[in-house]
Amino acid sequence: MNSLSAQCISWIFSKKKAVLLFFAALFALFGVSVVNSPPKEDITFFLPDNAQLQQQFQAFSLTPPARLIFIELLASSPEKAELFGEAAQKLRHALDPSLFTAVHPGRQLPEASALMGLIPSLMQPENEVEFSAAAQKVPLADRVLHLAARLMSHESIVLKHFIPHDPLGMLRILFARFSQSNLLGKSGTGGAAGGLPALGALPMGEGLPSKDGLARLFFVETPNKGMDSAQAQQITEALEKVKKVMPQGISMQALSSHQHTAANVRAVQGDVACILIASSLALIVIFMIWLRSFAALPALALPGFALLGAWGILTLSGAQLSGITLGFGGVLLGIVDDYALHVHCAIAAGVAPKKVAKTLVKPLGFSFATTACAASVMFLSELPGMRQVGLFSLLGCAVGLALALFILPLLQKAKPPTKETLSCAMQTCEETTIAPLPYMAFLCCVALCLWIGKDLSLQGDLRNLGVRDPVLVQAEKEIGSRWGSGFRQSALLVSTGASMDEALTLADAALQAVQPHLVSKGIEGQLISPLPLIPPPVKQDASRALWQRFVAQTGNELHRAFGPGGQAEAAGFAPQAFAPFLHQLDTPPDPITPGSLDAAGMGLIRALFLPQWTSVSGSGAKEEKYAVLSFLPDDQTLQGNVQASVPQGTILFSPTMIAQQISQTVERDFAAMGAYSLLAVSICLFLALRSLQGFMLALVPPLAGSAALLLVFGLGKEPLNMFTVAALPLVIGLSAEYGIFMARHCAKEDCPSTPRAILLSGLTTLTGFGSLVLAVHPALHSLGVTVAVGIGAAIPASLWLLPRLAKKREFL
Amino acid sequence: MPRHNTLPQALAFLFCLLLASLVPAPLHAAQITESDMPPLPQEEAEKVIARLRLASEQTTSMRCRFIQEKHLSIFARTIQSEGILTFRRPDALRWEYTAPVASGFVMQGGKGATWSKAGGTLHRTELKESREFAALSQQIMLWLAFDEVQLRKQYTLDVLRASPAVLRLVPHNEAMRFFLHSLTISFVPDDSVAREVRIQEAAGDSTVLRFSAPERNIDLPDEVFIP
Repeated sequence: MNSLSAQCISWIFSKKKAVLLFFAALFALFGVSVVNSPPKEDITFFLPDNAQLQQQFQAFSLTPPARLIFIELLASSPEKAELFGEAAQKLRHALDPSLFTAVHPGRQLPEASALMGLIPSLMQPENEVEFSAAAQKVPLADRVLHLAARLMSHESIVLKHFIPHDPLGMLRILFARFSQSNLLGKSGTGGAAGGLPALGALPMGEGLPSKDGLARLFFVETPNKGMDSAQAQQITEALEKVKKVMPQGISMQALSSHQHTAANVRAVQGDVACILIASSLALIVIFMIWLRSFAALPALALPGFALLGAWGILTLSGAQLSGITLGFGGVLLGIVDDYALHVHCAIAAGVAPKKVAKTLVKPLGFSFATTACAASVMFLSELPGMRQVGLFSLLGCAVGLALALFILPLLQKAKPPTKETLSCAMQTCEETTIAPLPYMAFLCCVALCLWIGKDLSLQGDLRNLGVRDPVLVQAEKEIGSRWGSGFRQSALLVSTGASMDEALTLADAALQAVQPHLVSKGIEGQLISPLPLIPPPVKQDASRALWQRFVAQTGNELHRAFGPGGQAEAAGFAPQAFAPFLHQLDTPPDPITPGSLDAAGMGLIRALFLPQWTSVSGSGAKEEKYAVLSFLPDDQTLQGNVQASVPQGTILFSPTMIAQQISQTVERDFAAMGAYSLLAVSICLFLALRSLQGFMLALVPPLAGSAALLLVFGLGKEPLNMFTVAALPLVIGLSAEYGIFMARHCAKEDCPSTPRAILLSGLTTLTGFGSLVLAVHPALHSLGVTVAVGIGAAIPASLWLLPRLAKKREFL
Repeated sequence: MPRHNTLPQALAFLFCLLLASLVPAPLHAAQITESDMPPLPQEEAEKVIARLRLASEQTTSMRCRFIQEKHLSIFARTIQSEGILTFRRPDALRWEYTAPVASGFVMQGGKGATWSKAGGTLHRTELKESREFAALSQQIMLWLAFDEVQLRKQYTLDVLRASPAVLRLVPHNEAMRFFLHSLTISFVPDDSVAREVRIQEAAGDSTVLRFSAPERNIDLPDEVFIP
């Protein structure tokens, strides 16, 4: 290896300008590819490889909170509630139609004729009995007088729009079904008021009313994708503008996935600014204290090029880089700066630039091997994102090593050799022994940490891995308390079909399948479903048959009562006053479709429950489908029997189940990665040192780093997440590097510049990437905590503890 | 033609306007013909509105009779009814039809009920079950207090004649305008009460209310307003 590296370096030095030019061109290419392929936030990167799970997650994109924007208007006092009409009007005008394509409930008053058109398909036997009884001569006479009396009162201004279509009050059937759908949860739904029964139960133009009357809720459709940061930002800014047009006394709050994305983008941008400032300042301080030479600048810049190289290679190969993966670039930089600082320190200590590769190729090679082995462990993960982090780290380290050994020396000037350097070159390997008792004590401490950390909790809920903007959290809490948090905290049943009829039939079968579970838990009343308002075709047909029987039995009596010359005319009504109702009796009823709900002013039902879905199969083929959504209380018991009972064509998406599966994966990964990386690193250490005692000493920093992580996470009760898990092998790999260098140093195989290089690289890693602790974004913060704790423990373990566990104590 | 909402506001609007005029009224009712007149210049209109507000503030309670004529296309003829209106500041109201059918509603402090004895059967509904009436009661109280600021937010106030005053109100809200085109109130010469209210609905129907036998600032027992 040494002779090969010597030949390489000799050739490179002979073609210095050409090599530098080549690398400049190569990195320019990487730069261009990186600019043209920005990282993408795709949460499915962090979903385990499981076709069912992936499909469930696709279904999640159909939930109202993922698709729609919830807008709530709040009155500061009961008196201000009268301004809701004005506020709703301003809201509609202020929403840019290019960004907000539909507002529900619509501004139209429900059309009486369209609403009545729904009744035949909703009729039940008890309705037939009730209205057949009401359609007898005596009750009809009473009814006619009652209607006339009501129309004399102030109610006439509204009633006159409905009574000609519905003199019997059959719309009650629809209002009951609306309540049954559970759409409004805890919200208020107005009632009978001696006027039209529960007209207030229908969505009205000024929004859905809360029970206390002090809030109104709207659902807004947008073509902008919630996961696209630019589009999310656009929506968030537009909503902020709308807030400003509200009349005094009415405030507005909005909830959407766009705002969460925008909050995360803002947090990451803020974090990056904060971290860059903090780490730059820290690096300047380190530079001023220890390096004080412009010759060190290329060494400090090298990790950035390694990062660019890894990123460029991946994007040129067509891979879509996750933003989170890039965040791990921080750890990668922390690893790669070690190579650069070792080379720089060696040259600063007098090793000739041409000879530095030969001198350091072995320790740096083994150092790379340990990191590579640790990173390779990530390929075993079930999470695609974790595997990408592994590949990214591996590539970054390889590029960093190549740059450190072969390019960095080209940019460094030779220094006169020091005495230490000369002695270093002449030294031969000596056997290093360990001090048994201190080493046993150290192992006991590690075991204690292992015991403390044995019950670490695991965070599998993906929602907790993003920034939770306090304003949004508060809004979510308030809206949940007023309207119920049904959509957000429910499991979702998505029934899909090539036609709406097929989807409705499947949805009905699915609800019947889960019904025993709901009944057994006493939560059947918490089901949220559109089926009471748009039943499957078979049930609609049965209802229409009842309607036709009702018409056949009572039609003549109703014509006599409400037609010309009948009781209604005798009570003062115009001869044609009830023509719309009588016309409906004589017309064959139509089935209920999403279109008929729209026409009846109930487009909200379609928007919430009946979306169209482009499903993507495992092979990537896309298929347009009709979907019907239902929501049921989510808990762990859905797994197993309930999940198995759901008919084919229906997907059960349970956030609890998914969190559980991810937690299990993270748990498996944490144990496997910890164990495998320690094993892989151990093999590398042993091969590098070829001495049991040296190996045991080199193991001290990774053991200390891992133990510190277990201790801190165990005592702090901070849950492990996938970012902690992903950082673990890298921390072990990086700590093992310190171990190799220090063990060789103890054995006097290495240069005296080693402790200084370790201290510097450790400090740069800590200051540069431990500063991620300051990050607001949970992913970056977790990463920062892991690096800070792991490397923070590994540095003193390398520089202070390791020499004291060895019998030779000639360090620092 | 697009249909705009909203039910609660429309009802509220209707009643608040009715009650705005129900500070005690004179016996002699006359046909209002001023509704199509051009409004007075703003300066003069402001003086009239200030006068009306002052007169309204001097009424703490009142009771009067009313005759109502409804011109609805759903009916073959004009429907006439009569009743009694009772009001006590700050929040008690009873609107009662005595003929041809006993019906009405009562409210006090946000609670209330409606009733009807059509066909000999009593139909009773609590107001709390209806957000329409909840909104209505707020509007009524707003009007009885003659809250000029709030009124201007919701309606265009036109003064059609200075004395005896005639006021026309047109809702700003397009949803309200679906139900109501305008409301014209004619006051007695001393501004103390309205003598007639004409409600012009958007669909061409209309209602005329004529008030009589006013009693102002009288003692009204709580029982009158118990739902």
